[in-house]
Amino acid sequence: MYLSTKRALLLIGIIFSLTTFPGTLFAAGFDLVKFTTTPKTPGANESVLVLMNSFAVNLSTANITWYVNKEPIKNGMAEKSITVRTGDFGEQTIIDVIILTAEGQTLNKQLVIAPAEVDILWEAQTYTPPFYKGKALPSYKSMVRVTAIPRFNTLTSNPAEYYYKWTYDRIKGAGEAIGRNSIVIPVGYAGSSVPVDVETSLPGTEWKGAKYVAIPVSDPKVTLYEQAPLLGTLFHHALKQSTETTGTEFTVRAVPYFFSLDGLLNGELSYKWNVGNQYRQSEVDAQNLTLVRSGKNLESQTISLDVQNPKRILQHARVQGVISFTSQE
Amino acid sequence: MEQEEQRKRWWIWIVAGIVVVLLVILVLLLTLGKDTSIARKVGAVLPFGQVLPETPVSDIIGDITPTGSEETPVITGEEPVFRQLSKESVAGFTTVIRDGITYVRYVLRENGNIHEVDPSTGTDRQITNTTIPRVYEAFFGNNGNTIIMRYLKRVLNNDVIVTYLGNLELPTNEESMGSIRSSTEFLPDNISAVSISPDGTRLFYLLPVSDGVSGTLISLNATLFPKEVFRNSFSEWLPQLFDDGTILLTTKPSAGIAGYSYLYDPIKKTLTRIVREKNGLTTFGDSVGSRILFGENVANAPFLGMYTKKSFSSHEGVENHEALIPLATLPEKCAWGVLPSTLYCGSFVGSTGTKLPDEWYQGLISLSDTFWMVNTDTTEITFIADPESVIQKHFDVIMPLIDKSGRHFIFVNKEDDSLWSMRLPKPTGDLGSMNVSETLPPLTPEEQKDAAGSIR
Repeated sequence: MYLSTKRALLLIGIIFSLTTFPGTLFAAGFDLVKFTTTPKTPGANESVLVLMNSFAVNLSTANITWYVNKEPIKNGMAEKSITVRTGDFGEQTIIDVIILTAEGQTLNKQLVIAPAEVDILWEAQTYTPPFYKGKALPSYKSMVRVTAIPRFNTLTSNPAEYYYKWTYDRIKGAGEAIGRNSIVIPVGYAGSSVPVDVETSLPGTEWKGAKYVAIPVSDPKVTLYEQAPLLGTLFHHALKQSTETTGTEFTVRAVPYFFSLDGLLNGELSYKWNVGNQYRQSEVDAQNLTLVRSGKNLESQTISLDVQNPKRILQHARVQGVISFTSQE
Repeated sequence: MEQEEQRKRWWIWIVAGIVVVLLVILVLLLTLGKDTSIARKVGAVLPFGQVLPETPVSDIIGDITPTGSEETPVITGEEPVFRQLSKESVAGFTTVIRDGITYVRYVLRENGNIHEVDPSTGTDRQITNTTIPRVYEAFFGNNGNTIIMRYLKRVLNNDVIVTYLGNLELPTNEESMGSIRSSTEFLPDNISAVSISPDGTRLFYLLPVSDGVSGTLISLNATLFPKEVFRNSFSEWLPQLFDDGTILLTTKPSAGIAGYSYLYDPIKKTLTRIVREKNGLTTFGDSVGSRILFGENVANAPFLGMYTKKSFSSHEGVENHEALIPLATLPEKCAWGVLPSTLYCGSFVGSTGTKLPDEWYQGLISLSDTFWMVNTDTTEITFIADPESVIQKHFDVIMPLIDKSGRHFIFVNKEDDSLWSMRLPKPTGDLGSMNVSETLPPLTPEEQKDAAGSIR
């Protein structure tokens, strides 16, 4: 039964091809012969294993000739695979195969490898302070925007022209469409990472690309800085575990890092200050704590702070330190 | 008998004469021809030690500038190697040339007042009295006559970044005081990043929008004419605008995260990738973007590299665009010299194991720099100075800039945001890449006092 189906398909293929190109079977139109490549979407200057298989043609008894960019590379009985190296961006690798079956029929098959490359950029929608030049990192249950920048025939690209298929957490679809070069996804727990895959292609062409990235999830943190009356927050110097001041008053500013942006901008973060193990009511600006020397002698005050996002309770950070007033009156 | 005595005296006079002539020749040789190999050989056998080049007390020597180059500094007098130009916190600065003298024009963080200081003498003068408190960042354009100041205002318990654009009304004479006139162009709140082209004629800024980020270019000449030239769904860029109008866009860095850098052409609307997948990637290009420094974090150690538009053949014959520069530093600690091939950098040690640049940006760690010159044609590095040995001080260099005359390396010390200059060395022939710290005489007490704080 199986054999007869194979023969019938082959016969249909032969009849069709003879009506168009007498003497030669063009297998491409019927997928009588299929190619698979490893990797699935090869990049530029990469070694690629090309494997041929067929349910309709007995390749094990066929004489197979491989051409790469019109140069004969390999010939022999049952030569069903070849390893080729792709070119630079913009260079297509054209693989032609001529199959001479035991029955004396000739089949042609062509594969075009058009190396594509995709950069995946991602940005966490978490908070970093003004003028901070570093990257915002994702934390527990924060959102991350992922953007693909594909390149096919040059080093530049217009992302809007391409087709994208997104997957995250290996199986969750995140959308596919022409021009959809960006998605927003949630992440999980600190210490884990979220795998994201994108497949891209330029409609109407052979160009294809794919990229995978793992987005690591971090812990949020809070750092203390001096809030100087004339200079503002001294972002260049975080307060160390122990800080000395010669003044009689010292204002500490708490700066959260990597808490979800929406919670922070909506004023939802809670700041719980303690001074010497005593809870201290927040000031008008909950990020600030002003310490005043209580007497005329040298003294040290131990402070601690807990910052939490009540809507994502594991977005929590704690910091503590000692402020020492070192001048005497 | 008497004749014999006279002959003896004659011989004594002849021998004494020969000795005197030889001594004169020796002295001339050692003074006028001190850099010749003969002088060195002679000096080496003298009992009182090696002949050293005669150097002004605070000059640093070394083959650090190509001989006969335009950049050759001409240093006169006893200028110290390091000079503090401002003790107060500085938000930004530039250099201007007026009446043939190079000045450093800078903005005070606490009140936005602008000062000018001559790095050769330390003479400082306030030139504007317009008060803008708590300036976090300041940039100059238009030959130092346009100022951009960035500060924070608090709105509903959130910080809002204000970017102020103004033009300087310079004082008309020595006694008068200038001011800042607000520009007719108001820039939007919460601009995330600003870059001014090295020639000072254009400003590029990024503004977060609902679907990503928008980039706008403004001419800083009389006609401001802002124009949106860039829009992207990814917003976390650090931009650098070049003189030709192209923009280097680098993803914000983190130690363990792969970063990318692209060159954006606002006319062709093309994004060309320059550097890919380097952890903790930071970049800094020359004025036209033909050479782009990049820093990366490899196993928590900093590496510096350079991308060149023009490719070169590597040992294997492969065309390459990247070269390694053997300095442990970040690109933002470097300044391009007047010559395109020359680069000056602060370089640090002991950062292994730290998450650079994150922890440095967050103010959790400080770096202590020594100063180096790089010939970017060959990637050869030359030591210039160690501030700890010269003035017993640590510098954590930020905002470095070579002044227009090429004589000073101006920078802000991140330790306290104070402004400093380092006099660049005078070339002294072919001493090569020697370690010059050993040949640097200590500063006199007056110079130490001068170096410790020389203004006002």
